[in-house]
Amino acid sequence: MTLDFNQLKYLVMAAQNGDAQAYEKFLAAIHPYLTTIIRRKLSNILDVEDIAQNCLIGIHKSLPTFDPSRALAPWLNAIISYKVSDQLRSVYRRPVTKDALPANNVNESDNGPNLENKLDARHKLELISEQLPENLKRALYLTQVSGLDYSQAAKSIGISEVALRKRVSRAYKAIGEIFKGEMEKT
Amino acid sequence: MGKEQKQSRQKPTQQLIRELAQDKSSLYRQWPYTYRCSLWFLVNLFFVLLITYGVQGFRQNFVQDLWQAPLLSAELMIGLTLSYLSGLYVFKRSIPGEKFQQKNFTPILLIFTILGVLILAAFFTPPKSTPYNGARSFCEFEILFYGLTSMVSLFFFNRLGFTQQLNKWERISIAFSVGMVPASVMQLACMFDPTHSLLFHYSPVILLVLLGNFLISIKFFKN
Repeated sequence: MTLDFNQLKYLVMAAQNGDAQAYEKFLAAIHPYLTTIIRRKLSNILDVEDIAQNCLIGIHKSLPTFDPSRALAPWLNAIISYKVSDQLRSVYRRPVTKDALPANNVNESDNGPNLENKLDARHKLELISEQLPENLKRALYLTQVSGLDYSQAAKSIGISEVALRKRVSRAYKAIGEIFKGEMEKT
Repeated sequence: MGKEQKQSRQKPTQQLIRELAQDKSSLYRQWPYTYRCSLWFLVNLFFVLLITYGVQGFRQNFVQDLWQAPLLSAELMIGLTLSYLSGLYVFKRSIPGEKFQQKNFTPILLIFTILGVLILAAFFTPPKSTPYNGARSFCEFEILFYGLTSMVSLFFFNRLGFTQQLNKWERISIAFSVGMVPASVMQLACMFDPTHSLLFHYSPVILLVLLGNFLISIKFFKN
């Protein structure tokens, strides 16, 4: 998805001078761009249209701050990033439930013992991850389920990338130990 | 805003776009951030001068002190410059897409270092003013209170902007911009003693960093 930012910039400048039609044209033009960017950033874990609408409102509120002597793209992308991070923060503050775990491993076309094994493995993984402390569970969920990269995930929970990597490593280690314990029991 | 967002989710995007385009309240251009910051700084300075004078007045012979103690005048000028430069930085960073650059913060660090040297020099300079002249009972709380009031006004001014996730430089800048004005003015109103200044006039500025973190987390100040 490519946009002619120069043309859009003129529309924004016209909007800042009170031209409502130019503004409507601008918002309509950036909407597909917003959804593309949001989909790329968030994979499919959230309602893209909801966030796109929040971005449009954010752009609307920030319109007076645009300086025509500067480029439009960084201004626009900063607002999108901010709104996406804001949305992520609100989502990841909610406790992680086992329903949120991925079904990616399970393919509908699978059948027979293969599907049973996968479902069983998924169920075990759900049970094990339920035993993890909340911070480790969240770190694992963000990096392995939501499709975010480490820097985005770290930003969304307000810790450094190094700290997040440590948490993920600790989560794997804890899962290994729990799994080992389960195996020994059986 | 939250209400607006919730409402927006219940309508199609095309309808939302039409409604936003009809809302004329955002169809204007803000003043450049330098103008806005200058206005905020002057209003803030006037407010702090007025309220400090109103509470307990200024120290006797403070004008004479300004002439006789060059360190006091220098500290005052440097403190106010630090506040203005930090304010400029905060206002600039509230514009979406303005990236953090170390060079933007360098003048602030430089002025801060000069202030540190001046405070240190005051320890080795015989006092020009009478000891305890002008001592105020709660100068540190006054600084905190005036600083917090300024912080609320700063956030309110910047609410029209788009403050991003704040990094440590921005948090420090916010505290400097709002705290250095009352701290500098208090040098004229309260006693001018280097130990007292350091402990009771400049230390509350550090506390303002923590209080700022709390204030910025309030939804009202976010866009």
